[in-house]
Amino acid sequence: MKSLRRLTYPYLVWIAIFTLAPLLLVAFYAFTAYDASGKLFFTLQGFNKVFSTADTVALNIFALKSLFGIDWQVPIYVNVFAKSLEIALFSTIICLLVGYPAAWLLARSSQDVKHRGNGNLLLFLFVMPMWMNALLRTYAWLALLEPRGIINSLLGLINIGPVQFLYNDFGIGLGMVYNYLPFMVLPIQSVLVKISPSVIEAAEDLGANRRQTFLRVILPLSMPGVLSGINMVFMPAMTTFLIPDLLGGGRYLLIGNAIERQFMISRDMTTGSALSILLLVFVLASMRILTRYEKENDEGGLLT
Amino acid sequence: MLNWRHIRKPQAAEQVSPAVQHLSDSTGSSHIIEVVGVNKSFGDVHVLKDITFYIRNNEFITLLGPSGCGKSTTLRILAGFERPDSGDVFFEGRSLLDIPPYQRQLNTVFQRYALFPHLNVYDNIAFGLNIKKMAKEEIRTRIGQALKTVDLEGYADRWVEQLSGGQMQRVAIARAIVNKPQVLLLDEPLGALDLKMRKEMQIELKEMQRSLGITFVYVTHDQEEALTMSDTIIVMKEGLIQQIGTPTDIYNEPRNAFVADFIGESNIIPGQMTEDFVVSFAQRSFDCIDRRMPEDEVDVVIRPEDIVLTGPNDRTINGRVVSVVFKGVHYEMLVEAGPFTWMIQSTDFFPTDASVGLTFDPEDIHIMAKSTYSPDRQSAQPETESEPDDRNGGDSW
Repeated sequence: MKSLRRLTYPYLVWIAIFTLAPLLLVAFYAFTAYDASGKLFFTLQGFNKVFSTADTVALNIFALKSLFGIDWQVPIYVNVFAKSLEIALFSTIICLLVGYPAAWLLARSSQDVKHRGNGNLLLFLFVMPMWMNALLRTYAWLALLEPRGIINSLLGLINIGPVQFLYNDFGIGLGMVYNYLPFMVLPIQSVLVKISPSVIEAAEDLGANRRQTFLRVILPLSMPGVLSGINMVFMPAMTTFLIPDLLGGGRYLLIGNAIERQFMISRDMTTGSALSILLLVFVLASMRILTRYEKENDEGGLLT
Repeated sequence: MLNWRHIRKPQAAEQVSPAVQHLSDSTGSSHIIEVVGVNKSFGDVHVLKDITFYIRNNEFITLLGPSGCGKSTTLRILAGFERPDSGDVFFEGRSLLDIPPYQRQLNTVFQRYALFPHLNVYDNIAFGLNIKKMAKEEIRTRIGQALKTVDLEGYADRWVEQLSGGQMQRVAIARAIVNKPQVLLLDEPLGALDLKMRKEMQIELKEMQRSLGITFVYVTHDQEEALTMSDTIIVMKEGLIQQIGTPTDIYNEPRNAFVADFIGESNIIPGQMTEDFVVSFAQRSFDCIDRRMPEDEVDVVIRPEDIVLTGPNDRTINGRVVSVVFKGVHYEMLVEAGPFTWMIQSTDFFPTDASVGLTFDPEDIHIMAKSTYSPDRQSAQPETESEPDDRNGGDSW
């Protein structure tokens, strides 16, 4: 065992160099800045800028303003945060709604002894796009959704459109669902496969119809997969900058883009790092809430 | 192939046990389930071939046969998990075919328990009652009773994975009986337990069936289990019902060589019968208590424990002991006599190479019609069990 442990050292070194060190650097930059003479000093100006009320906009999520007439003025970056959260939540929910049935289909077809080949083929077709670069896949969507793109040309044949698919919530949400769907389906599929068919038969035998069987047996048993699927979709959806950058046409600001701009365009390391730290804290907090929920779920079974 | 259980040879009926008498008397009175002409195929495999039988209210009926005989499929058809290709299943006179499993008045104890891993013992047992939206207090009372019945009081808060195999089995039984089904289906429920536990559970299950007054339909490949617990046994092989009867009936009056062989140890010898009450085999004629069959060629069954060994004389089948095995209660000896090797179970010991004579009473000779399962006429080998475990040939019978 001891000699095996040595094999983990390269990975530990890797983590130290490429995970811990950058994290520490970001934390360092978030609280420091250079003064005019090029001297480093401690500051909270990055965080101040993020929460600065000098520039405010109406909170633009869940159609609060247009549908409910609610006009909350918030700092620009808070709105960007809220917008990212909104789109990430929507994408996660849609991934779950689309992904769960897909996971069920994949799980059942790979359990079917007679048609196992079909199940494997289905899984293969499902996973195959993941082997392609995400950038290329997202560019492909550009070609499809452009005002003069393939879909609009087809719609034009029946005198519809051109429909504006790109550079709005729809385009970005679609890009996220498309890119992250496999991360929802695979963990759910892997827990569904492990549910013994006889447990489902037992539920039916005890009087549960299909809906009750799903709600009382299949869903609770697949919760670990659902939670890790949510994790795997929500986290990257919250932090991505590639998808809004391409499908948002550079005009659309999510938190990932905001951070990128601070570093690449404004060259404001302090604000960029402060945003990164806030995003990191937010993501860790939501992960914590998810795992807390999972635990409570377990304990819930213990009661009575 | 004869499927109806009450078709029985008249001579046999004269001397069967009171239990059999009782069964024949009540024919037609209260059949809770009737299975009529059921066929089922999976792909090219015809697993059930025109299965017809009925189940009486409150009886313990066992579907017995080697693996692949179709017994589990029959049970799954009763539970509603499989649909027959043809034929019908009636429950209290009404067809069950279009009723989904969750609406049937039957509950199943599954082979591998199939407990819900995300629920504790209490919630596992409460599952069916919760579905029925029963009041919480009522559920609590019922579960208390069910846990008491299966001897698991105090285990309500345990998680399934904390239980032993025997305890899981009890939970599975409690989960089924708590719903007070009219019929309980049990699919090899003791298969995963060790021998001692299995023996205990056999007795407990039988006891439970009596006290609850529920009809049990039990599937097993273990002939001893079937003999111990059942009121009625249905012997199946290759998708066909071979024989239906009481344990005594099946053991003493096997209908063909397969049944004789599967239920306990048997000497199956080809013989000829040209008149009533006389059969010839091993170059001799013997008095027997069976009437003539439609055909002269028959199979003769003599159970190893019915044969008495003496010194050889001109009134006995004479042979030589070729092997002796001590089995605890008795010795198991193989005796070579002419072309046949006989298996004899006796408390008397004869050493290897001893010359012995075999005698038996006329009522120990059982005559069966020839069937596809008849052993080769040239070598009537003493048959061994298809399941080579610890069973010792039902010598208690």
